[in-house]
Amino acid sequence: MRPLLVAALLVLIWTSPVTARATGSVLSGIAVEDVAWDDGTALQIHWRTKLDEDFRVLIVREGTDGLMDTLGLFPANVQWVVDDDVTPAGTYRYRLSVFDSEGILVFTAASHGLASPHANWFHRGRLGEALIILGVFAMILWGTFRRRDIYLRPIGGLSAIEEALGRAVEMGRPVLFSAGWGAQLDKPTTMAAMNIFGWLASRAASYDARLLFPTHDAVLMAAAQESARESARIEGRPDWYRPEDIYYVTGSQFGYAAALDGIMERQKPAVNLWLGTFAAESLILAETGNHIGAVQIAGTDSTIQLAFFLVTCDYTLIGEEVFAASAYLTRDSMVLGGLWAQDWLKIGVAVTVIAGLVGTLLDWDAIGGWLRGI
Amino acid sequence: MVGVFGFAMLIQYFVPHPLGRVLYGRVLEWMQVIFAAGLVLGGATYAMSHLRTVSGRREGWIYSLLALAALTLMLAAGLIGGIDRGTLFLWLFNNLQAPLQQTVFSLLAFFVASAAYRGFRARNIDAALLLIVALVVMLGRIPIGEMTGPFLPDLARWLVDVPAVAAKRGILIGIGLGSVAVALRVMLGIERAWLGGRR
Amino acid sequence: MNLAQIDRRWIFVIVFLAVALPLLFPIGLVGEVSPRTQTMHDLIEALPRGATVIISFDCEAASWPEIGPVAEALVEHTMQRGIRIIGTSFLSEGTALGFELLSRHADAADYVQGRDWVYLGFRPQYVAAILGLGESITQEYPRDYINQPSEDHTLLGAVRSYRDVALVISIADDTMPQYWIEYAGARYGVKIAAGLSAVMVTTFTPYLDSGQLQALIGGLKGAAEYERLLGREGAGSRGMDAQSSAHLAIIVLVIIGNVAYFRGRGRS
Repeated sequence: MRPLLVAALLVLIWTSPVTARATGSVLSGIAVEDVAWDDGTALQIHWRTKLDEDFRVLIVREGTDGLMDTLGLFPANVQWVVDDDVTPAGTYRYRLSVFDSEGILVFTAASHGLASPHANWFHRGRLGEALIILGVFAMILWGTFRRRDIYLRPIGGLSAIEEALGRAVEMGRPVLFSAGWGAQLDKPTTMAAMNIFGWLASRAASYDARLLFPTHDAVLMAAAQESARESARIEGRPDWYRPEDIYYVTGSQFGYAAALDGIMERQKPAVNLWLGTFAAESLILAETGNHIGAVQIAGTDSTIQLAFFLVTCDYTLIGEEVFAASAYLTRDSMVLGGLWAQDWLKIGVAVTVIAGLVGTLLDWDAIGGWLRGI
Repeated sequence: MVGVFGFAMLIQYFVPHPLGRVLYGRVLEWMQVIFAAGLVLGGATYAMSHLRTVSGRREGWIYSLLALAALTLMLAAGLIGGIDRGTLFLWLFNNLQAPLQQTVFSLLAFFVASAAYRGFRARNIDAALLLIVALVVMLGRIPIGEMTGPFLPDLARWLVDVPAVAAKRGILIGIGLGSVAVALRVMLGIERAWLGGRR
Repeated sequence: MNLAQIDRRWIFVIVFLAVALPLLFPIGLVGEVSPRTQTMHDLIEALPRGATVIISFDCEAASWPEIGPVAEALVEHTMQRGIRIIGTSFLSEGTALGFELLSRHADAADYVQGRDWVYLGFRPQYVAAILGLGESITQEYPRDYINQPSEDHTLLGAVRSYRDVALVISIADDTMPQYWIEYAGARYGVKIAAGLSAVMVTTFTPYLDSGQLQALIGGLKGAAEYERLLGREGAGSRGMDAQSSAHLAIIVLVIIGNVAYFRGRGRS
């Protein structure tokens, strides 16, 4: 019954002859425009009026299919409304009806002609982000292809990896690697960790060290197995690769921690490498590693877990050092060039932060507004 | 492939056209399908690995048997009895799995204490400063600290909200730039160590 | 006995007693309500009756003793206000916990499933799922947690995507709210709030400052404060005793460790 009544009311308003019962035209310049730079699902309806918020405008949309829909009641003085429930293929007309504070219809009129929304190929609201990304990409690519052989300050944790591998071989114990419970292949930190793993697998294959990588994610497991197999092949040691050493344990955080603790207690690895994205399991892993006397090298982008690793591990890579690891380990001039560009970008960010700070302190709206705009 | 999909996903962020959204939606569906397939692969690997241990009577085979029994029981309970309230699955989850997980998590309290005991030594000025800050934050964030007046809680809050966040932002900026650089190198195939080998 | 090299099992015993005794013999320590908790309370209080919120249980069973009281307080308040709830989870363990909690509170508040609340259940690949909810809830979740067709629920007939959602609350013990902020907040403009484990609070403070996160409460302390605002004592308030004594025990241990260290250094 209720939908029928609403439909009847809509038809009544649509066909109502009432126009400008108040003196003069209370609503003028009714126009409908496409919302620019969007996906073609919005139209903007605007009007001019001198009425205050006591007057309400009921907006009804009529599609080419004849279907009518109410957008809602809006205060008259807002003067524009966006209808974001239209489709790019459709054409629409709008009727605006003004009601006074007592709910009496005082004016009604329709928009001229039919309006149609258009889908665009670029989101102008994201221009700032696009320019920043292009700038950052350009800088990194420039650094990368100029192949700079820059000086890298010694990073203790990375220099220690090779030494630790030797220790594991001497002791006849395995090396345990984990990319953390937070690792997923769509995360750059995991990719950075996998870069180190690929290099490590090569080294382990050439030293004939056993490398264990229990994972919490089957996709990561498959990628790691592939990486280890390829490393063994390149090193000319295909027999070194043991798929059963890179295996899925569980997706549960503390199930994973318990499993790794068990592996450490039973197999007593000589070296633990905790490189990737870790959460609360970090301390449980690193403290157990400490207890069994393993050499522990950690590196993570999880700022909270850094504190735990710093206390319990022999070496800890902080944040971006994990990303720099492959440059450090491979000494590839292209990767080093990218690192050089990163340093300059960091200076750029620092300058922007200082500019924002000064602008805010001195109340320079121009700088603040520009930064906020970006 | 990595480069094509990487750049396509980046570009679509700036394309409001429905075609971009369709492409994006399709990629998201694929991601879910890959993940679901990964779960099956993970389950199979898990079962195979424990079956090997049990059949070979390797060290700790009894635990592997327990793991396989748990896997079978939970699977059967969920598939046959469902996962609604009052089912065996939910009962097992609430009364076995959750307490077991919580027990492992609670180890953190013990490990934090033992790590703090060993690690928080005032060996030099830096370490002493770290020690004092840690004590202030620990005291300031509990009701006993609040009983001493507003100074300690306010100082603790300031330490957590200002210097700690400032340091964290510094690290995050580095991580952000590092992430972009690694992503770009991987998408362009400059860095391939993750696929195996030394480069 | 060399205190600097003490067997760690002694430390474990001290921590165990410091946690267990106050739980067995409660003291009743609850601090002042912080402005942050008050903001969260005000945010839910300001939502109109009949509005819809998404509550996502993005946590593991392990952290439930800490995060559970936060979830309890937020769900209780939301239902007291007559706000409709769509529940989901991107972590498998949080799924069952969230369903159990929502069902229990719904029974107490006379909420009808399908009309006043719906539980969508678990979705892997959270980024894809968060984005999918922005396009169409029923397409992303064709069936709910108990395998009913989503289209059959009147609530999901009226609430099609983020456009019809007043707030998303992520109950999380990890960085999941970041994905809600980056994908649901930035892309679809929906408001995001978070109930977090205490350790995650500093991670999300910058988001709170920048306005990308509307409000957050953290850990047992946040839960205890929220319970105080709701006018009752719950697991959060009870846990504050144990947390306080554990903090004190660690402080005392650290002091003992330093005394032993300096005495040992003096001797050498």
